[in-house]
Amino acid sequence: MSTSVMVIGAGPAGLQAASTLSHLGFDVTLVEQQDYLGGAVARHQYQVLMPDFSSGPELLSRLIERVDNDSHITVYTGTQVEEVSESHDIFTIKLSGANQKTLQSQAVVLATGFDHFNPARDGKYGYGLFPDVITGAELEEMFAKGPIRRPSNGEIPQSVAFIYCVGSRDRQVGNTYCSRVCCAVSAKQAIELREQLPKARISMFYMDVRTYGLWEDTLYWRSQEEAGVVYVKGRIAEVTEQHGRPVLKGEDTLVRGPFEWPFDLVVLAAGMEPSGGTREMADKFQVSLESHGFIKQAGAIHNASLTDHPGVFVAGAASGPKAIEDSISEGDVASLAVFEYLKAKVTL
Amino acid sequence: MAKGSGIIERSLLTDDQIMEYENLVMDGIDISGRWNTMLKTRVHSRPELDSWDEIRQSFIGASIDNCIQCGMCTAGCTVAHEIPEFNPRQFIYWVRTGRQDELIKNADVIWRCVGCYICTNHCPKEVNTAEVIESIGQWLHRTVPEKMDQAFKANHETYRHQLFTYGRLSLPRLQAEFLSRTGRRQELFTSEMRKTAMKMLKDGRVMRTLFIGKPRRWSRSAMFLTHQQA
Ligand SMILES: Cc1cc2nc3c(=O)[nH]c(=O)nc-3n(C[C@H](O)[C@H](O)[C@H](O)COP(=O)(O)OP(=O)(O)OC[C@H]3O[C@@H](n4cnc5c(N)ncnc54)[C@H](O)[C@@H]3O)c2cc1C
Ligand code: SF4
Ligand code: SF4
Ligand code: SF4
Repeated sequence: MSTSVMVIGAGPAGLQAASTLSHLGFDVTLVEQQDYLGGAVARHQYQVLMPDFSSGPELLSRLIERVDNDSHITVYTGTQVEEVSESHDIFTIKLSGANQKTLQSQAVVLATGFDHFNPARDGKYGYGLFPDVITGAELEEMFAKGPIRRPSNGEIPQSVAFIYCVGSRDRQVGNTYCSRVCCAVSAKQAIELREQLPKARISMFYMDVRTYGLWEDTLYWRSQEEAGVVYVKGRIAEVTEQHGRPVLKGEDTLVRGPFEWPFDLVVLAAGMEPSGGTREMADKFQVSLESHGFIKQAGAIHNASLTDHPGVFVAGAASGPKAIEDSISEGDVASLAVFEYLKAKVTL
Repeated sequence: MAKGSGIIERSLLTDDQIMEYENLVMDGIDISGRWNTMLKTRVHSRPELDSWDEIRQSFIGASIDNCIQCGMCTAGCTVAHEIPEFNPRQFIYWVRTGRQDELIKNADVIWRCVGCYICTNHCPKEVNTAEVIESIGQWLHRTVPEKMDQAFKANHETYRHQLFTYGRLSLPRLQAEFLSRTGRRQELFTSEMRKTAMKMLKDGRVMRTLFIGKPRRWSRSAMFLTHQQA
């Protein structure tokens, strides 16, 4: 009998894991609940990726082709994990949805990713109330579909504001962590916007700018130096509306004192939360969550993909906010960990 | 001539930054007036942190260390929109960076807080901002009572005195004590006041408020409170 591994979730992390596991000689089942592959990158049609401005669709087609053209990988879309049982280190997994099957796997990789924080949950931003207040993910969709226009009246925006840390770093909404990529993604989006809106005033409202590592000059500095983006240090307390334009209320903490500034378009850098699927799979496969609700890495210093349940591994944003490059790396890391775990038990 | 009037961009400086002597002789040379104008150094070199310790250890000031300096409190603050010197975020910053000089400059302003708690409601870090500001105000009151605006001081002391003496607050008594503390006793006898008093007498509010009595065994509680104060 060949050794079979199940990968759950077909975002960047899961796609990479499936392909690498197959290269290592395993038979792989890739289970995705949606009827498309590619996770968040496909869902919001990211066109241009942070940090290197490479193409989102190209990345996806490369990842997906490798999986599609691999005879050792079976892809089940529109499929969910219904029931899990375990005996003698073998998982018996009952699938539901488009593919109602019961399969056996010796190891499982959870690559179930994240959900965007829904800003409607935090009344202060007026999201859902004012049409010109949108999320970063919706801005990505706008980039994909056509020119940037104000949703309220179809006009070209003369001024655009980005509000950082929406749904992150906030005890009141219950998310006390930093979502890690939104600063850099916002800087990338501002640079892209500048190409379309050469005259618009673009302002970023931040508490700290976390374009860590190599992104400091390539994104943060570049947005200021080349794209003329202005950074204002102060967290927005409230968005209201006046004369049909959203008004941002905050304090400019560097010059001190409150401001109320109107903008034509407001982009909320909404953070990441553990996806519903991540929580559900953690429960079904009996792995612990860490204090923020992501899957707990049992030995992050040894290997990023270890959970506290032998035979169950994690990759990508399921274990915490992460960029695509890290999610893809973790797909490989998890594959190697599966290999190490199984090589003691079976001969390939 | 006004202090520092010879300085270009004088508006950028406050009076206490300028040294200028009407009559000054140095080494036998008379440099009286504008000639001796000098600016004090604007480099701050001695953080004073005992106030921080006092505030973080107080019951109402304990959440001060949660602050991340985001500015959401000031953004929504009722008073900050009217009085630029009143800035709850900035007060917290000054406490934690040991800027007692700046705090003392604003010893009077800090009492402008109207206690609306918008700041506390906004705060993403669960700082009880309104009460932290109160705690900073109390520290200033202890440290530089003379810096407080006389009216605010009288108001503060009236409330304190009434509470300790009667165990509850009544508007007529507060009003009477406040006006007499600020030397405005005659205002108690204006025709407007008399009209109000009559009205309150008729509808029974005077009786209710004046003769409502103290809380049970108030003297013991008062003793405990006064002891805590000391
Ligand atoms: C607005 C925004 C823009 C971004 N732009 C960039 C960028 O430019 N560059 C960058 O590096 N990063 C970017 N990111 C981050 C990037 O989206 C993530 O790093 C990446 O998507 C994580 O990949 P993943 O595979 O771990 O998870 P996901 O992409 O979330 O994929 C998880 C997949 O698992 C599936 N799934 C979940 N639960 C189950 C289940 N129970 N059963 C079956 N399937 C399930 C989901 O349907 C989904 O397809 C951005 C994030 C945001 C919020
Ligand atoms: S990455 Fe930036 S915007 Fe996102 S939560 Fe962290 S600090 Fe806030
Ligand atoms: S809102 Fe809270 S965290 Fe932000 S500056 Fe005010 S007290 Fe500090
Ligand atoms: S309680 Fe005081 S500091 Fe807080 S918002 Fe109201 S006036 Fe401002």
